[in-house]
Amino acid sequence: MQDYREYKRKNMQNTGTSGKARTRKKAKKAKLSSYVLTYLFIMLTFGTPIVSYVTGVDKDAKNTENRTKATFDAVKAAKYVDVAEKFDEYYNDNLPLRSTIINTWSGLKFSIFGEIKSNNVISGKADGSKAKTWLFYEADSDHNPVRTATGIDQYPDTIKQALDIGIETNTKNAKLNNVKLYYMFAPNKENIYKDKLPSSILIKDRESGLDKYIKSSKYENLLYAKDVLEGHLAENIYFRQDTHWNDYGAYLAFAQLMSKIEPSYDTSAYSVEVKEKNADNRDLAQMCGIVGGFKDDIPIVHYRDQDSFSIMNDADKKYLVSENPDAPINQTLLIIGDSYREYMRDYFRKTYTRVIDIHRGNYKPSYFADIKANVVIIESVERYASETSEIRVFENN
Amino acid sequence: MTFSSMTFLWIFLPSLLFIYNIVNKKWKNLVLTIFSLIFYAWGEPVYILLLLASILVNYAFGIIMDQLKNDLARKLTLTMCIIIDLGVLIFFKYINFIIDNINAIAGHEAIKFAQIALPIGISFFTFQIMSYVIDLYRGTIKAQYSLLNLTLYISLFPQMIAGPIVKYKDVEKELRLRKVTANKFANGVKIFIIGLAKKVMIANSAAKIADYCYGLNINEIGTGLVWIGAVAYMIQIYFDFSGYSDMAIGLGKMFGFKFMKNFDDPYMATSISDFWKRWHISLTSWFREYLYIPLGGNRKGSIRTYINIFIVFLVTGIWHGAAWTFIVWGVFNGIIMIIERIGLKKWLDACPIRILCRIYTCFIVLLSWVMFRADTIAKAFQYYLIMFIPRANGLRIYDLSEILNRQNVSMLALGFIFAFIVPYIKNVSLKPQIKTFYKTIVEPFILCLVYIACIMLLVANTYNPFIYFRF
Repeated sequence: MQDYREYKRKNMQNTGTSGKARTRKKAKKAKLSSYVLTYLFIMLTFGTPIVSYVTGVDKDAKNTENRTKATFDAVKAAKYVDVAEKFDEYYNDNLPLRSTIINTWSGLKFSIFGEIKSNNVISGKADGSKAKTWLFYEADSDHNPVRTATGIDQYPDTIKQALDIGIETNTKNAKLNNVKLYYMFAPNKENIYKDKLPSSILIKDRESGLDKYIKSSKYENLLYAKDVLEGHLAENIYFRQDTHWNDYGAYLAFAQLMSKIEPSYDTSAYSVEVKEKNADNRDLAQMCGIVGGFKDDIPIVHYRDQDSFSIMNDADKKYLVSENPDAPINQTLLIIGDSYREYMRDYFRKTYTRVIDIHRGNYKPSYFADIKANVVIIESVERYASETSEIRVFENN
Repeated sequence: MTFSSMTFLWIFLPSLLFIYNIVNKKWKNLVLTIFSLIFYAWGEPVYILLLLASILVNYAFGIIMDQLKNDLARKLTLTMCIIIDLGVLIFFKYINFIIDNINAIAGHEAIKFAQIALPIGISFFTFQIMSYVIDLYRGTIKAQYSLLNLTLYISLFPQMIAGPIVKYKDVEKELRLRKVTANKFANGVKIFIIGLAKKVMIANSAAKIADYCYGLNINEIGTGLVWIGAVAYMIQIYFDFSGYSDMAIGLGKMFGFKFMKNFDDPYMATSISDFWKRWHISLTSWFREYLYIPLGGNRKGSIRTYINIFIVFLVTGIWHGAAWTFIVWGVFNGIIMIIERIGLKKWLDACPIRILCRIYTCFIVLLSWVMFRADTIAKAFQYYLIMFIPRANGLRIYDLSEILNRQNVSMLALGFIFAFIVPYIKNVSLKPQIKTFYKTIVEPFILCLVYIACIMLLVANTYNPFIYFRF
């Protein structure tokens, strides 16, 4: 038997059978790895779109991009030469599992690199945990607040001159109309919280263009919220993952304004309650595409909680009107501003019997005749301060 | 359409793979041709007619040449065909450049001419089609009587837009008969994913840094930034181009074609002559076969060899683009090649410290890429001055902190590792068991993870939020 085995082994060596067997075994293994890779690739290439269409995932995903997504109608309506481009636009905006993939990728990127550097958002320092990271806005198309805060972009003389003309014109006409008029500038979050910017961002000049402009200006009716807010930085007066100030920041600015408009009016009766909340709906968090990754300590200000007011549109739906007959100041207040005013307006609604609230882009001087305000506040966040120079409140401007 | 677009990855490729694999063998070429033409028309809805016309003309000349017995007549036919092919290339690619230069010399608009848009891939498909008619004339191939097969050869989507330049004789058999095995397909998938990762993960990140540095005002840029920009561009161009070539080779394999390797660790070269054997190999081999050797190659003495090398590199520069920077880049490479041929190469080959030869090569290549990337020759020389006469950065150091974020720097470092270190260690022999485990289990999963990461990056790039409708 042993001889036979020896004979067979030798014979196999001579004929090369064992070599062939080895080659076959090798080929089998190579085939296995080929199948594994091929199946995985096919699954990923074919599977993702199919799963998405079958399960309907992402079909009704919330549009967090604040833009109109491309539609298939645009593809159908396109000329021959534009069809491909329109289709790519449509498909990129409506990809299978798009929101899920974006959120996962953003979360992964944040975990791996510890920073967000996409879609005009950068991550700054964190207050303890990663979830409490400060986010900042740096879009060039929006007067890049990071470059403004670090002193790289300063105001040219033309902006300062335009602001001077706007303020002087409105102030002069307010006097003619017997109206109190105030300007309130809110610092960009990046300016007030520049120490929360990532350490890789170098600060060239701690004073921004607006800081310098206000310092050198001579207008008594020009208020800068930064003067008050700087004393409260530790109390989270801006949202961590949003471009705006929060209720408390807005309240401090409101109190600063009231101390100027009605020095005898006491705004000190208030309390602040801080709650930790998920920050998914904050604008910068949404721009990063990160879901469930951020937390914020949000202050809720209790000021005249017992008061109620009604809100309605005016007859032509041009602006919002609130009425509060029990308010302590029986006057009409007009606030023209940007989204920062939205956090302040309820304090005014509890203070004035009538408050008119309108976005600066929608305001027209002709409205003033109907509004008949006693007090006018022109509010602007720092990054839109230069646009404020274009606002004319009165028709005789 | 590009390979790194979602339309390609999730619509075009799955549809083609599905249809191609279910149809009968005799319909496969038709399916592939139709999809290839759609692929081209997606980016060039008008110039597709130019491509089709070019195919038709060369098809006709090929048939005529095949029918002719007289050598002079065949030569005339070839000459006419080459004149037409080069004429089309010159007209669409170089006419703007030529007229701009004539007008610049004249000092006024001596020739009024509307600018012509460059058809995508014209340099690649023209060279491919020329290889067909030249080889036909030489008798190394048979005429292709099937218009469908010739159209497929020219328009085959993986390599038509950015190479590799495939010679007709290399795919002649595969146009008629090819087989896709599981191994071949998987190998294609592997090469495709590697190429996609090179492009999406490394080249795009390096491009952000390079574009930023090269986009700065020359007065604001310091020595450090110019070097950072030059290194980033060196990484970008290699991973971008070789990534695209890998994707093309991988896709070719998925459909049964075997295209030649286009890059072979070029930054590991020990001389510029060695570099050109490893960089854009399909173009180098095309020029060697259809220009250098017909010019006499190295068979007609030293002086003639130097002249031939110079001509080849001058043409290589012109081929890359219609700008003086490309021409100077080509000439620069030609001069270095001649210097190496004169004697430097012998010294380099004898040098016992090989790393020094690699540093020399990378340094020369890096300098040449500065010229290649610069907008003008004057700007390129300004970059050289700043590189070697140190000066501080201007204001833009503040912006740089934003560009050199962790993601971009990590990807640049990864590019550096894959370009300069991995080639050293990739041939390390492993124990057979480990190798089998790696090949069977680890590698497929790593590749799939990389593919998922690429898809995620591409999808994430479609996210384009605005802060408000009206703020």
